[in-house]
Amino acid sequence: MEEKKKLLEVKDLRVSFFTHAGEVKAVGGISYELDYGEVIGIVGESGSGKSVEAYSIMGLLQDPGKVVGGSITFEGRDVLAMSKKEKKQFRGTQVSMIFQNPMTCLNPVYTIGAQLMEALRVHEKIPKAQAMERVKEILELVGITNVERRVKQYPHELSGGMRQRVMIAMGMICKPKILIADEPTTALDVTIQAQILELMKDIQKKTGMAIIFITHNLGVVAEICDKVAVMYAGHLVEKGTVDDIFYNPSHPYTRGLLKSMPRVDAKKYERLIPIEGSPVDMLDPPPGCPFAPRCQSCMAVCTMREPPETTVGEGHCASCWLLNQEELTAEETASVKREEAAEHAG
Amino acid sequence: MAEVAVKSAPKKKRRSNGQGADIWRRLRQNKKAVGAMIVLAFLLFLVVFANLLIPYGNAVDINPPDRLQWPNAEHWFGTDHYGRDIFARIIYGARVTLLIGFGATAISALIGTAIGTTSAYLGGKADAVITRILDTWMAIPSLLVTLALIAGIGRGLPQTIAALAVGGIPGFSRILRAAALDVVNRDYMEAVRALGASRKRAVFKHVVPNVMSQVLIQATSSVSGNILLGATLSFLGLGAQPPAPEWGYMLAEGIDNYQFYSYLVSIPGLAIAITALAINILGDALRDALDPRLKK
Amino acid sequence: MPGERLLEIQHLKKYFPIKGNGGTSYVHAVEDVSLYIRRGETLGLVGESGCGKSTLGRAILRLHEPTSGKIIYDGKPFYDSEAGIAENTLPYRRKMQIIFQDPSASLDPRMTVGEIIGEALDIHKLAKSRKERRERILELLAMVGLNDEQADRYPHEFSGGQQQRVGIARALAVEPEFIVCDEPISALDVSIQSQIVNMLEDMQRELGLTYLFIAHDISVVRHISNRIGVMYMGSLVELAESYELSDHPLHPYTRTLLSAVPVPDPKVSRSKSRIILEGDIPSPIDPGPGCRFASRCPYATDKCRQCAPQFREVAPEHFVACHIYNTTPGC
Repeated sequence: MEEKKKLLEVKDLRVSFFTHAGEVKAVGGISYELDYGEVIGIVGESGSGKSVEAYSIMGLLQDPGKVVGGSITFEGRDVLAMSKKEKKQFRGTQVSMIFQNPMTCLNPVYTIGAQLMEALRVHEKIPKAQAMERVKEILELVGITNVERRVKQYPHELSGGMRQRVMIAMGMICKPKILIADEPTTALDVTIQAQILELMKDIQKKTGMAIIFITHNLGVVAEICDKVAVMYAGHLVEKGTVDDIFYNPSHPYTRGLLKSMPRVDAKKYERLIPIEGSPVDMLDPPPGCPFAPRCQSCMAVCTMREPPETTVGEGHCASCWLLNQEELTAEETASVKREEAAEHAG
Repeated sequence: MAEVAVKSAPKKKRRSNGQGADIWRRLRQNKKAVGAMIVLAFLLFLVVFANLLIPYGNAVDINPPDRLQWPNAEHWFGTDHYGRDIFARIIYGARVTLLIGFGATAISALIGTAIGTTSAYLGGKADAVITRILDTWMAIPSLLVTLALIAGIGRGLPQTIAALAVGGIPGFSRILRAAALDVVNRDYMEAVRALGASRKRAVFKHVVPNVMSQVLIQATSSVSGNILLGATLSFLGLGAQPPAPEWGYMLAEGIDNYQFYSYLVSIPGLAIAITALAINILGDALRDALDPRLKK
Repeated sequence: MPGERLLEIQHLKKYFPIKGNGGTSYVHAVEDVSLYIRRGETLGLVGESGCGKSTLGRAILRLHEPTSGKIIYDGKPFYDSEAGIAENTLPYRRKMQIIFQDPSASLDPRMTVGEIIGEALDIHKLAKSRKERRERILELLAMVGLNDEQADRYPHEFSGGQQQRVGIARALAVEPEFIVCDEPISALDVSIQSQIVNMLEDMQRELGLTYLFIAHDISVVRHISNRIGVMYMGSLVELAESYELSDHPLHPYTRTLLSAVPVPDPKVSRSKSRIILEGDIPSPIDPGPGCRFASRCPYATDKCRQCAPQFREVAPEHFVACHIYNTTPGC
């Protein structure tokens, strides 16, 4: 049987920013796969590299950022090796992106209709009238009513939620196979966020496109994603299905995140359990596991060597020494034993 | 929990000493800025140590036998039609030129900043009135204002500086008002008010230090503008009075003989151009270095 | 727990004028809000952006001078549009403080952290000597989990969480009783938010502070507050004890807000049915008569569109402004 091509395969991707103060390893070797029609959530805090990773897929990395290693394969094609022209075609028709703040992505001097038409006609040579039909169709799909009037409006005449709908329409107009959504609901109020999430779920079901959903909000992830990749300081610390991540978190960071947030459905008051310490200074990252300085179960080996990715279940991996003691050297094993003994004694 | 946080606070290896160091680092990285700073430092050196390099007499004493010599080993930049050494005149002229440029700018910066910041902080009617006055003032060409003032207070170096300074005030006030308005609406100003700080404290401890970068940027362009305008006035015979060497005046004198002795015009002209250019480049670089949006 | 009322506001209004071509119109940022806060409690205030919750917080401190109404602090009138306002605000400034949303914007970039905290001491003359001043600064920094060496650093050298700690230390420097926490954690990373929440709780216990905790995230507000007020377009629509409010929300808007919050639990969110509101928040400029929520409310009737509902107590300590719960005829 011929093996089916994967939609997107990111392998050991490394992205660095070369600044005056030295190299910042924004993405330090991450791998994941995305299949047709899947929704993957990339979760992380600011500076975790989650957006940088998405920008590299789109080929939108800007100076001083550079892909320094690894590969991105889209339906068997090497994305990083594409020529400028190929990349331009690739963006829009195969992959497109929507952003946190729609106002900065919409041109204030053109109408919504004109901008959507342009986005379409850049990639498809079709007559204007036909293009306009497509524009109206897509606007209806993203839940915009009164389409005839809306196409003649300018971005500032729309509310925040409407603008985000227009952005989604723009991202989808060329029927891409992957939609990358970079914090698309972060700037919106919860009631509007709920509208947009419902819309994205609905569209995903109708069109069957895959979505890479970048966010820091675990609630949103639980809502919309099939798979989750958790990032910390440029590293992918854990990946798995939503149920794996939420009901069987294996990395101390993932566990910490889930425990540190108050839940709106909590039955009674419980003091929060924070992750102590500060985020990693990306110019001066700690040796070994990036989470080690804040980790409750940090061992000596954690501050020396980066933990390898360990499989915990089917499609569920985490990078933590607690899960993988086979790869430890004899000396490291001894130190782990000593620490355990000390802990028991204490 | 306090102890935990103390322990895990990151130990930074890179210590920077506030923003000054940061700005200086960014300036140093800009090659054009470094070039401009070298030119200006050299100029400053000439101005300060002029007496050690060449006697003042060479710049002002009339010496007919040496008149109109092309640049040579003895007179590097040649001599003018009175036989005065042009190199000496350029060096001593730099004193006058820079004094006009920096002096006038310093005065207008001081007054303009005071007007602009106060106007922004007071807001309301006071602000509206001040803004209208400034707008009207700016609608009159500054050369016209300066000429009118000189007509009133007479010719001479102090008068030139004063006239130029007055012309520069509205520009400073307007830019500083905008900058101060931005600062006034920041959260930290709200925090200071919540603490019960007086107006005086709010303006002098918070608004003024935070608009200093804007003052600096405006000042650089104002200095080069004033140098050019000062030269224009001298060229018209309204600025520094002879025999004091001044670049604009040298230009005016050279015009008579420039068809045959082009260096009479090109040397002071170049001096003006290079100085103004260096200051403008430094101003641009300063703006980039101070702009927090470009911070990496 | 029910203690004396530390702060009470009555019919507080704050309108911002907008000068247009056809004369001046007004943004009704805070529309007739009355509430009280007991000594030692945390009153949460939730609502979406533009609902006036931050303006209300600032109006209470008179950082934005209110348009009309009354603010009574500790039994004394701090602001009263009829009887006259307190001219000397300095004593109140020592009692009431504020913590801001954006920690980097709330610290003067040209001052060291020590100077920022020291300024609070200077204004109220709380340190007799330089040595005492320095000691107090270090003590405050230690209280918020920062060390001595950090006193001489500039704000940009700190992470967001640490900057927020500095902001808290500045507020605590004057030994206040009451602090307005204006979205103090929403600009911070998720893993840092809980640190700050716990710290605020600890400070409250140790120093007997009273908080007005403003946030858009109802899960956080519910966690930290004793009582919660819900705001919509400048008006308070519901106010109740925290768990009462989330377990038995009365106002249709409160229900929507609660159901819209995504829960970090895939099984729950799969089974959850949520109320999706049509439309957006209407313009707060010169709103018409009637309930502000009527344009989006699934239960709106003609009565709702014609006259605004009164804010009344429908169960003990549970207030709501909605015609559904008003059985008496007429408005």
